Amino acid sequence: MKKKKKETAVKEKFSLNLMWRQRYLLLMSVPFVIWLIIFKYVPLWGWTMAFQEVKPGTFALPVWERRFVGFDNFVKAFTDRLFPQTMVNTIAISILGIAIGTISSILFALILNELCFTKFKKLTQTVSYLPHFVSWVIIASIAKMLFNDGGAIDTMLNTKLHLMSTNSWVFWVVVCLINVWKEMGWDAIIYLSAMAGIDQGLYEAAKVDGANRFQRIWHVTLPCIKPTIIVLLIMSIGSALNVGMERQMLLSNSVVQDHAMVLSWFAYVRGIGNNNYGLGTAIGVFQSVVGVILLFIANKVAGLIGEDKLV
Amino acid sequence: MKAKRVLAVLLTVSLAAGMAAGCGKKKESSSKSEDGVTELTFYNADLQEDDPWTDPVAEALTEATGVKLKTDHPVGEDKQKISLMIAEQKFPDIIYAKGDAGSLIDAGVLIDMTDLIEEYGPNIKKMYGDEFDKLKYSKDDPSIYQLCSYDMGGTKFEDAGTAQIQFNVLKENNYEVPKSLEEFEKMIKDYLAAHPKTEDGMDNIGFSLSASDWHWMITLGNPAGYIAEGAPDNGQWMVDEDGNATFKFTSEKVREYFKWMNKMYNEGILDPEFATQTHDDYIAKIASGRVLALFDTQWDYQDGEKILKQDGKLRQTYCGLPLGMDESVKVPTMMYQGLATGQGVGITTACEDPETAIKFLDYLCSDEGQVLINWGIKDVNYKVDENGHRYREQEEIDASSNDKNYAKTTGVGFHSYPFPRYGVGVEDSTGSSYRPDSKEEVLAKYNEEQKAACAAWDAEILLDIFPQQDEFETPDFPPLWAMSKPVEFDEIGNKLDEISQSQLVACVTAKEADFDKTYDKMLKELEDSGMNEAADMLTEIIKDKIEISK
Repeated sequence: MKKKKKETAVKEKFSLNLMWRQRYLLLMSVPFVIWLIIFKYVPLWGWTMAFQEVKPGTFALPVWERRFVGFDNFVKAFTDRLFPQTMVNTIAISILGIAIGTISSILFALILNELCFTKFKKLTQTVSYLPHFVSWVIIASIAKMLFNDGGAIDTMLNTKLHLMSTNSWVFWVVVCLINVWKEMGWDAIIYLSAMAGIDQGLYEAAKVDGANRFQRIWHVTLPCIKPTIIVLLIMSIGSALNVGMERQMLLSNSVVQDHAMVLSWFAYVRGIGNNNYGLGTAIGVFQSVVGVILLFIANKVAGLIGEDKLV
Repeated sequence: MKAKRVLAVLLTVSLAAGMAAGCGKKKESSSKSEDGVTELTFYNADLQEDDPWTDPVAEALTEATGVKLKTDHPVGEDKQKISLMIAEQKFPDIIYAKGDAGSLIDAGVLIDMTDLIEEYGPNIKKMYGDEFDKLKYSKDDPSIYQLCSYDMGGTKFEDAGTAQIQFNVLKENNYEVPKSLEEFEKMIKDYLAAHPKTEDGMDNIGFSLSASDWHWMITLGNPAGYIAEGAPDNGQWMVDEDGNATFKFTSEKVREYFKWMNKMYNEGILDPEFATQTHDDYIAKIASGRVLALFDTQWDYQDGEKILKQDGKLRQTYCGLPLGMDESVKVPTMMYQGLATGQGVGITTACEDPETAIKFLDYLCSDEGQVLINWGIKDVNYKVDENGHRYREQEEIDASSNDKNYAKTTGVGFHSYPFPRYGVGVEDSTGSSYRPDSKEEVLAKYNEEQKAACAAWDAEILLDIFPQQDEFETPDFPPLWAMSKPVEFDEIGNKLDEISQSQLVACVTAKEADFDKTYDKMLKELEDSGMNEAADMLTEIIKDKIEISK
C-alpha cells in the first residue's frame, strides 16, 4: 500500500473571521473547556506542594505560609533506597506490558477477524473482554489461586514453579501476563474495528494475485491497521510510568516486594504512608513530567519514521 | 440556531450549578436533636463492622449520658484514612486513630484534655490512678491528647503463649512442655513422622506464619524477641536496663532464632507457602486443622480456631506455650508493661461541645459505666449474688463464647475497646471484678482438651506454667509499640519495618548456606537507612517518658 500524502485537506488559516464563522461550534465547546480547566488544570495548583514541606502540622496552612524547600522533596525521592529499583521495575513492567499487550491483542484480533462463523466470533469477543470490567481485587485473588505456591497450576503440574515467589524479572512477566489476560479482549476491539474498515477490494485483489491467507494478513491487514497501532503505541508510551498501583499491591507479597514496587505505589507509601504529602506530590509531579516528555519523544519518532503523528 | 444557543447556555449554567453544589461545604459535627440527645461523630480505626448504636448497652449509655455515637470505621487499610482526613481537613468529634495519633497531634487536631479532665473527669483520674501522668504526651508538651485504649492494670488468665501447639501434639508427647527450640522442633518432627496426614487426609504442616502484610510483625517479628531474648513487646525495638533502645533484629540471639527458622524452612517443617500466602490463606489453613504449631497471638489466629471449635476438632486447637530459645530465657508474656499509652480516644478541634464529649468519656470510666460496657445490663446479661458479686449464668457464658454475633446484638463488650477500661481481674470496691472474664469464667469455658492439659500439668489454669506476673517489674515507660512517636521518627521507622519485612522473609527462605550473607545484607541496609539515628531518637523519647511518669 502506498503511503498517504500528508495534509490532503487544505487547512484554513486561523483568523478572527474564522472564529466568528464557527462561533456556535466554539460556544458548544465552552462547557468542556471549563470542565477541563476546573478538573484538569486547577488541581495542578497542588503541584506547589512538591516544592514545600507539607506534613500533618503544616497541611492546614495556606500555600504562602508553608515553608518552601525548593527541590528538597525531589532530592529525597531520588536518593531513597527504593527509588532506583522502583524506576527499573516501572520501566521494565511497562515496556514488557506494552510489548506483550500489543502483540497479543493484535494476534487475537487477527484470529477473530479470520473467523467466518459470526456467532462464535461474537461470543468469543464478548467473553474475552469481560475480564476488563472485573476489579483488580477479584482478578488478583483468581490469579493468586492459580499461580501462588501450592496453587492450582503447581498442583496440576505437580511441581513447584514459584511463579509468584521468585524475586526477579519472573514476577514482571507474571504480572504482565495476568494483565494480558484481563485486557487482551478489550484492547483487541479497537484493532478489530480498524480491520473492519479495510476495503474488501484489497483482499479480493490480493486473492486474484494468488496470495494465501497468511500473505493476505501480512500484506493487507497489518499495513492497513498500522496507523492505529502507532497511535495506540504513542498513547501507551505516554503513560509508561503510570503503572497501576492496585494491581502491583494486590499481586505482590513479601518475597517479591522488591520487584513489585512501582512509582505510583512508591508515591503512596512515601506520601500517604508517611504523612509526607510534599514528597508524595513530588514523585507524582516527576511521573507526569516524564510522561509528557516520553509522549513527545514517541510522537516525534513516529513522525520521523513517516507515520501519522498523534499531536 | 437560536435553539442551539439556548441549549449551550443551559448546559453551561447546569454545569456551573453542579460545580457549586459540589464545592458546598458539608459540616460533620455534633448536633443536638430535640430530645436532648447529643450526637457525636466518632471514628474507630479498629472497628471492622458498622455500629448502628441500637443495642441495649448503647441505649443505656445514651440514657445515662445523653450522648449517641455515630461511628465511622475504615474500609481496608486504616492507615490512609487518617492521612486523608488530614488532607481533607475534616474530622469527627471523637477519634481513635490507633497508630496514627502522632500525625493528628502534629496537625494540631487533638485538643489538650488536661483542663477538661480536671473539671469534668473525676472518674478518668480515679481509673488511671498513679499511672495518670503517663497519659501526658512529653515533658515539653505535657498535654493529654488521648486516653488509653488498653487495659489499666490487671493480669492475664488466657493467651500468653509465645508459641502455640495443637493439643494433638502435646498429648502425643505426654504433655511435656518444651524448654528449648530443639525440644519444640523434636516434638513437631516426631508427630509429623508418625502422622503425616490429618484424619481427613490432608498433609500436616509443621508450623506456618503470616507475613504478607502487617501481620509479619505479629508472627515473624514479635515471637523472635520473646523467644530469643525474653524481651517484652516493644514493637521492633528492644530496650536495655539503662533505657537504651536497639533495633530488635540486630541482636545476636534473634539472629540465631531466624537461623533456626531458616533451617526449619529448608527442612520443610515451616510451611513452604508461608511467604506468599495472604492472611486469609493462613487462617483457612489453621481452620483446616493441618497446622501443628504457630508463632502467633490468640487474637490474630482466633478466627481459624473458632472454626475448629465449631467443627468439634478440639484436639486440633492450640495451647499456648512458654517457649524460649533455651532454659535461660524467661518468657515475658505475662508481664504487665504498664499502661500502653499512645493509642487512645481523643477529642478533636472539630468537636463543638468538648464538655459533653469528656463527660461521656468520664462516664465510661466510672464504675457504673465500666460494668455497663463490660458486663451489660443487670439481670439480663449478668446477675448479682447475695454477696453483691456479679456473675454470669452458664447459658450467657456459652452464648458469649460461641455466638459470633453476641457482642453486636447484646452490646456487651462491643463498646469497651477502644475506650478506657480496667484490666482482667481488677476489682471494684465491692470486691467484684470489673470484667466478666475472671478466672472462674475462664475455667468454666475450658473444654476437655484444656482440662486434660491442666490435669497433666497439675495446674489450675493453663497459664500456671508461665513465669508469673509478679516475677517481673513493670517498666517505667509505656510499651513502645503503642507509643505515639513524632513524624520524623515514623519516617525512618516505617522504612526500617519495610526493610525488615522483606529481608527477614528473604533470610528465612534463603538456602542454609546463604543465610548469613542475607542477614548481613539486611543489617547493612538497616544501618544505611538511619537505624542508629532512630534508636537515638527513641532513647531520648524513653528518657522523656520515664521523667514524666516519675
